[in-house]
Amino acid sequence: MPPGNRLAEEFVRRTATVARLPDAAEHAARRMLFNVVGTAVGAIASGEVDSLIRLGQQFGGPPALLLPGDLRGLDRSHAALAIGSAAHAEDFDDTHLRSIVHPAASALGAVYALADDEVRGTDLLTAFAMSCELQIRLALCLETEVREFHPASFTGLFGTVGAALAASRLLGSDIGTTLQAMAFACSSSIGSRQSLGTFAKPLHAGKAASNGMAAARLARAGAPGPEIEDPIGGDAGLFNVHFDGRVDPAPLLDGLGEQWEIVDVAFKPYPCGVLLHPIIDAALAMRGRVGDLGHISRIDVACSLPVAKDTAVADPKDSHQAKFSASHAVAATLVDGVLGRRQYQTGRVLDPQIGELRRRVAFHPDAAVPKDACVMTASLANGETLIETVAHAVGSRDRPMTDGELSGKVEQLFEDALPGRAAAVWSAIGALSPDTGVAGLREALRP
Amino acid sequence: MSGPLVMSASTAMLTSLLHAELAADALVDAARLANALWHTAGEHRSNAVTDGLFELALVDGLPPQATAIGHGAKISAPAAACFNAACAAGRDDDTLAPSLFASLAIAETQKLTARQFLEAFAIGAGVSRRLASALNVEGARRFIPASAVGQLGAALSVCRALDLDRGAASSALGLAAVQVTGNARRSDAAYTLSVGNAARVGVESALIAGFGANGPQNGVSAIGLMLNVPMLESAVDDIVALTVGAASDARVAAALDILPTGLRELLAA
Repeated sequence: MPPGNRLAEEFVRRTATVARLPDAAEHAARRMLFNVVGTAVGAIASGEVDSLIRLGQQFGGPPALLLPGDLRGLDRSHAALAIGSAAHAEDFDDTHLRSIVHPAASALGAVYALADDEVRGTDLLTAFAMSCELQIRLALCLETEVREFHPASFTGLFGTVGAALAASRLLGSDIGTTLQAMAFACSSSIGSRQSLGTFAKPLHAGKAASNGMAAARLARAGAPGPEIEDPIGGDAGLFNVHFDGRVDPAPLLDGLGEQWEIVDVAFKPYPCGVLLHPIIDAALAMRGRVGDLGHISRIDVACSLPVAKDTAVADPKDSHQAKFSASHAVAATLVDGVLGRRQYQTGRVLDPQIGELRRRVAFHPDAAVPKDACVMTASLANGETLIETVAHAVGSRDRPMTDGELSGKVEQLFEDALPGRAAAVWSAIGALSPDTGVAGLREALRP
Repeated sequence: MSGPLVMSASTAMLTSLLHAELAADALVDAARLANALWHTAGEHRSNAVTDGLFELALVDGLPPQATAIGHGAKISAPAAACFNAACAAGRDDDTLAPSLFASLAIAETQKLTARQFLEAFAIGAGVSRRLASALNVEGARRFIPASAVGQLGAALSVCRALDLDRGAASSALGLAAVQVTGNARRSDAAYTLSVGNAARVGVESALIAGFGANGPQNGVSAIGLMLNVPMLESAVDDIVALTVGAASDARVAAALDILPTGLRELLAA
């Protein structure tokens, strides 16, 4: 373990020579890219980031690329902002469950917006994967209590540093310039959990992408980076400024290049936080047993502790608020028999039947309940009680989505912009290689 | 830990400034600050970071909307705000630079009058200054005030310049508030970039809120939570009393006369 003032340098130095990922990591990276391209296309098509697209159209430069699944183009900086935000906008992207990081959205924003015709397919894929791996490992360094209760949101905070790393790789920056970029990025990192339930949450991912890219371009343009010892572990580094040094830096470098955390990234089967996924699984199973929903007197859910902290919006008024409402997840699933993007549209959020059922749901946080589990008890008017136990939610580490399930999810996300194109896009991602550029992927994502 | 869904008291107070008539003293004070910061930015317009920011604006082909001071060239409004504020970084009162140059970039783009510009800057400066003075030692040790609280003042200024309604402005403040950046003990380069970024954040937060993006409704307390300053909201308790009031035409004219000629030339008559 190097001293705390050389963490960034060690990470960059050890990964700089990795031109191609090992097979398992590369397959994981391709699946992550497929998944997050899907969430970006879906959100762009549904207008989730129209405010950012307008920003780019009115205040940006000439289009340098088309947005995925869309015929509107933006300059690279605004494209990174829009794509990164879109990928995270519907809370449908991914989670590394141990670190609680959503790494791919900001990474996608940076690499997709910055890659030009000279970039090789594997270079894009490796830069994307390295960004994700760095974000995850940074979060794993935090003490558990800090990770779960700190007011910062890691998607933006660590995403900025990851995006700077990815962009630096695509720009061909040397180690010194990459460190300068990361130092700028550490001073440009944003992220607050006060963003939850508003557009500020996906904006964090987009800003991470664009701020990280800007840091890399600024360093590449010759601006000297901060003259400090280490942007991550130094006295004025990310860990000390945001977390008062409450970290164990070992996970940042342990096994780096040999063990890959990205293989444990889980994809979301439902468009909301992973804390809600076991509850939705239970509600889906419960629905088949209850019959008439009017017979339910109340529903009690024994759940993990963070459910009460992060998803406690009792009476959501719109899509963003509903994403942080555990009671909406239960009620909408029971009423509609499915929990997809439509159940988070404002019309369904304000539906009287769902609203009435939400008021009959109570949550009982329990430290003994893991995050991917829950026990749901439905008390019926006739005195009967029904119990559903979920040991591991779909999409969790112990029950990951299969390739087929992932393809089905992406097909659903493509239904408005690129209907029937999921297989073609998966094929284009599979074709990313040292011998190909990124034109094939861009073409597959062109409406 | 999600932000509140109802506008907080401090946000309600700040957004009440959007359409208020401002006191003459507040305008005169703002004009003096604008004068000083304008000259500071002009004198320090070239360093490695600002040169890099300007170069990237040109590479991206940004539209000519607002002036990059000292370059005789126009770039996009958010980029101009960022560039000009970065030029003032590290000098006296640079906590107010994001508000000043965000106001100016939008005023130039929207062809506002000097009075409209000054009113926009005055309210943002008032907020930024009060919040910065309330940062405790720990908060100030960790974060650069200009990019910890200055982006909120910048957003408020731009909301007034854009004539946003209170609902959109509330979101703009929240969107800016959750973008606290800037590690305080960095070198000049990171410091410079952080001050510039704060101006950009202020401009962009107001713009996208005007386009419909929603944000947390508790901007000031969101910053307080990030900086571990629980009572930050109380820092703006007096802002309405000290900022709102009457100003005779003569006092307004006197305030406008303080503004530098070069600045006034960017604005509508």
